[in-house]
Amino acid sequence: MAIKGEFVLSPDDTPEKQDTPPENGKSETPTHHVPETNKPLPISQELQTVSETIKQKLRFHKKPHFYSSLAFYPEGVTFENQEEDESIILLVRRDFITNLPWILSAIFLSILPFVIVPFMSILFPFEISDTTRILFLAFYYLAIFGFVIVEFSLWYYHVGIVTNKHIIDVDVHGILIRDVARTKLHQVEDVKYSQIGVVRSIFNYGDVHIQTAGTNVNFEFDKAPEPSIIIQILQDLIGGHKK
Amino acid sequence: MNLVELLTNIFRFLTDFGFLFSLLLLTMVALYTVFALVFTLQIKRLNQTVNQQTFSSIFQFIALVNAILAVFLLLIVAVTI
Repeated sequence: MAIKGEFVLSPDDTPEKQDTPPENGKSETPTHHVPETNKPLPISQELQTVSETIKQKLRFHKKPHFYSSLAFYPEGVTFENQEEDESIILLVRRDFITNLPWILSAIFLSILPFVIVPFMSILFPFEISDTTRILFLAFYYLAIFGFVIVEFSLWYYHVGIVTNKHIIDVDVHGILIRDVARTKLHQVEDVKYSQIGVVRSIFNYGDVHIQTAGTNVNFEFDKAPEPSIIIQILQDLIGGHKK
Repeated sequence: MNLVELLTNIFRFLTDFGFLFSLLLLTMVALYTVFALVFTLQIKRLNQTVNQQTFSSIFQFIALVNAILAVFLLLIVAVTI
């Protein structure tokens, strides 16, 4: 599935790509501007092993798409309070398949008016002018459009970010409910993941739990794709910081 | 206008379901417009929290289009009814 495994590895981080010319013979210079603060840094020694594993498993893309649920060294992504020498290593969203319920709901609601037209006289047993009917229908489809963009935004902005210094968890539960938590990498004590259920096993997504020291809040990347790889990367980073 | 005429007129309005439906529609569109405006502002704030180049600005534009459409519909409903 195109949505899954949208891992992004910067060309700068793939030594084999530097040795071989691009397939089409053209330069692979990105056409977009990449902020100086988010330029991919060379993979640190701690990440060397895990990145090789990822390279073998996954396809590479230059930059994350709007539907990417996991990106490795994503280009063109910045976040609030990002430090100058801080680069994003992982960008995690809920697996795209978790959007399926609201996508199906939106399709169903879009078709519904065509189904209930024969029963209009039963549903509205009083006289309504044609203008009002048309305006009501326009409002109905505008509301569906609103529903779609809200649901998509709740998925899009609900992210987990792992940088070379911090872990940031942005939870967006509603258009007015936002919860942002942040911790330093060296405060992370343990990482684990749980993958319960048939659907999660089939589509390979699960909850990644990040336990921090002391009374600090624990983090959770819920419904994250490829949780085992996320765990590998996090463990390498923690190991590197605790050496 | 005496009291009887006033009560008669009120009763006529309350039993005119077509009118009441239009009034309900106007209320719903007004509420939706408020939601669309708040949503547009919230998207702007969320883009400051996490910003993914190109796409974040596209979402902001889509949210703005949604708000403009809502205001436009509200005006049409208000004028028509």
